[in-house]
Amino acid sequence: MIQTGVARGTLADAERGTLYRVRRRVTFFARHYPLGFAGGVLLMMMITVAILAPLIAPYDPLGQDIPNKLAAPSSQFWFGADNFGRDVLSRVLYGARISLYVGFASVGLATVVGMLIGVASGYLGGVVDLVIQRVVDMLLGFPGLILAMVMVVAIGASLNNVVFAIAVVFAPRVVRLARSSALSIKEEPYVLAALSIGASHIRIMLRHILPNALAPVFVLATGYLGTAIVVEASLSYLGLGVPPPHASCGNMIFAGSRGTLEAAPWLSVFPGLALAFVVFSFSFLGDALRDAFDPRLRGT
Amino acid sequence: MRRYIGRRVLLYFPTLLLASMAIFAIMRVLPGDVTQVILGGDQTTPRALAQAEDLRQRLGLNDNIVIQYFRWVWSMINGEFGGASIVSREPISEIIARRLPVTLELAAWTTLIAWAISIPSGVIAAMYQNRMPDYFVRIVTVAGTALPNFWIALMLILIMLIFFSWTPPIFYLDLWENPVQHMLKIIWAALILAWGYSSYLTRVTRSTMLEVLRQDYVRTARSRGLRERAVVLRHALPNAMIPVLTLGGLQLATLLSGTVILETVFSLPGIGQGVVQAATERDYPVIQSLVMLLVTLMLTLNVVIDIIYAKIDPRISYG
Repeated sequence: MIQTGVARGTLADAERGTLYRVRRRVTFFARHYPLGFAGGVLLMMMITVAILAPLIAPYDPLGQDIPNKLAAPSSQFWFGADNFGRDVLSRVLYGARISLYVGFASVGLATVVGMLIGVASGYLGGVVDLVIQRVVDMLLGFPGLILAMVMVVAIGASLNNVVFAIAVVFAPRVVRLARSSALSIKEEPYVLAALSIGASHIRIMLRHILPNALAPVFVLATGYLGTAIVVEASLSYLGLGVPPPHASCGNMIFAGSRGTLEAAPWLSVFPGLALAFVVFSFSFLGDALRDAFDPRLRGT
Repeated sequence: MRRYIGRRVLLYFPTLLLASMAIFAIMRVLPGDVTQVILGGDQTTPRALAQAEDLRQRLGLNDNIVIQYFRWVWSMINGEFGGASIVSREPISEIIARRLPVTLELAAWTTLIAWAISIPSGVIAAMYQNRMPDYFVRIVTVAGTALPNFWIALMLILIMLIFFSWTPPIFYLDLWENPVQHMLKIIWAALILAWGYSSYLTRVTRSTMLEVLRQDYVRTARSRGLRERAVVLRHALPNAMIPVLTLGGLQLATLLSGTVILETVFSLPGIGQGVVQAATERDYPVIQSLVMLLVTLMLTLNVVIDIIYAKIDPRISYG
C-alpha cells in the first residue's frame, strides 16, 4: 500500500481542498518516515532559531568581554566564552544562520542554474548536449572540496563568493539528473502534442519539461543541503571560507582548535554539535524524501 | 563492448584537456596582477617594480597566454610539473615525489579498513533487517556520512588528550624509518576517513544484499536445506558485490576530498595538505599542478572502474 507516498492524491482529495490534501500528505509522511519527519521538524526549529537569532542571542556575537576570556560553560555563558570573551552560544546562533544561508543559497543557485542547463542539454541534444556534458564530466572530475577551494582562491573569500564556489560543485550533479529526466520527458506524447500545435522550444522546455523534471531534482537538492553546509564548514576550517568577523561554525571550530583545544574544548565542541545537528536533520529528511519519491531505493 | 571501451577512453582525453584549460584559466581570472598578490605591499618603489618584473619573468607571464598554457601542459607531461614553487622555490616534481606517497598510503589504509568493515556489517544489517544489529549499523553509518570529518578528528584528538594524555606524534616519519611512529601518525586519519567511506559502502552492501536475498535462487538454495551461512556467503554475497564494487570504486575518487582536510588536521605531508598550504600562500604554480594531478588521478580512476564494470557484469551490454 505504500505506493508513491507523498505524490499520492485522489479525486476525492481534490474535492476537499488544498489544506486537507497538504495535511493528509504530511500525516502520511510522518507515519511512514518518522525519522525524516523528525528531521524536517528539527530543521524548521533550527531555521526559526537562526532567523530569530538577534532576538534570542543573549549577547552580541562580536562583543568582546576580555575579563570573561575563555570562561567555561556556566549559567551566565551556557556554551562558554572564547578567547576574546565573546559568548559562544550567541556565536553559534549567528553561525547557524550563516551555515543555513550558505547551504540554501548555494544549493538553490546550483539547482536553478543546473536545472536550466540540464533541461536545455537533454532537450536540445546534438552539439549543445555534447559540449555541456564534457564540461560536466570535467567538473565532476574534481574532488568537490578541491574545486570549491580553487574557486575561492581564484575569486577571493567572501560570503557570496563561497556560495558561488559551492554552487559550482553541485551544479554539474543537478545538470546530470535534469538532463536524464529531460531525455525521457521529451518523448512523452504531451511534448509531441505541444510541438505539433506550434509551441516554441523555449516554451516547451520551460512549461512542459522543467516542471516535470523538478521532483527528482528537488529531492537530490535536499540531500545536498547538508553536504553543502559541511563543505562550507570545511572551507572555513581551512581558512578559505566565510571570512571573520562573521561567526561561521567552521571558522569557530578552526579558531577553537588552535592552541585552546584542551584548555577550552567548548570552543570547538559546541559549534561542531550544532553543525552535526543541522547536517543530521538534512540527511534524515533527504533520505526520507528520496525513499518517498523512489520506492526502489527504500531502506538503503 | 569493445566499442563502449573505445568510446569511454576517447572521451577521457577531451575531458582531461578541458580540465587543464579550466584550471589554467581559473588561476588567471584574478583581478589585477598576480605578482601584486604574491608580493603584496607597496608596488610603486623602483625596487618593488624590479622585483615584480623579475617575478613576472620567472613565471613566464610576459609571454602570450596560449604559449604559457602549452608550456605548462608540456611540463606536466614531461615530468617537470610546471616548474617550481614561488614560495619555497622547491621544484614541483620534488614536491609531488615527496607528497604523493603519503596520500596514496593514506588512501590505501582507508580503503583496506573500510572494505574490511563494511562488507560484514552490510551483510549483518541485511540479515537482521529492522532488528537491533540493523539499527545499530544504520545509526553508525548515518553518523559517518553526516558528521564533518574534521570535527570528528578534533574530538578524537581531544578525547585522547583528556583521557589518555596522549597526542599523535608531531613529526611525520617515513614508514621504513620508524614504523611505529609512522603508523601512530597516519592511522587516525585513515580510521576517520574509513568511517565516512565505509558508511557509504555499508549502506550500499546492505541494500543490494536485501535485494539479492529476495531473489528466487536464494529461496531455492534455502529450500534445498542449506545452512543460512552457506546461502548468504556462497549464493547471495557474490551477486550483491557487483554494484558495491562499482559504487565503492567511484566513491574512492571522492575519498581524495577527505584526504585534503584530514591531512591538514593531522599535519600529514600529503598532496591534500600541499594544496591547502599552496592555497593559503597563493603559490599558484603549485596549486595548478597539484590540482591537475588530483583531477587526472580521479578521471583515470573513473575510466578504469567503468571498464572493469563493463567487463565483470555480463548482464549489461553497452552500445
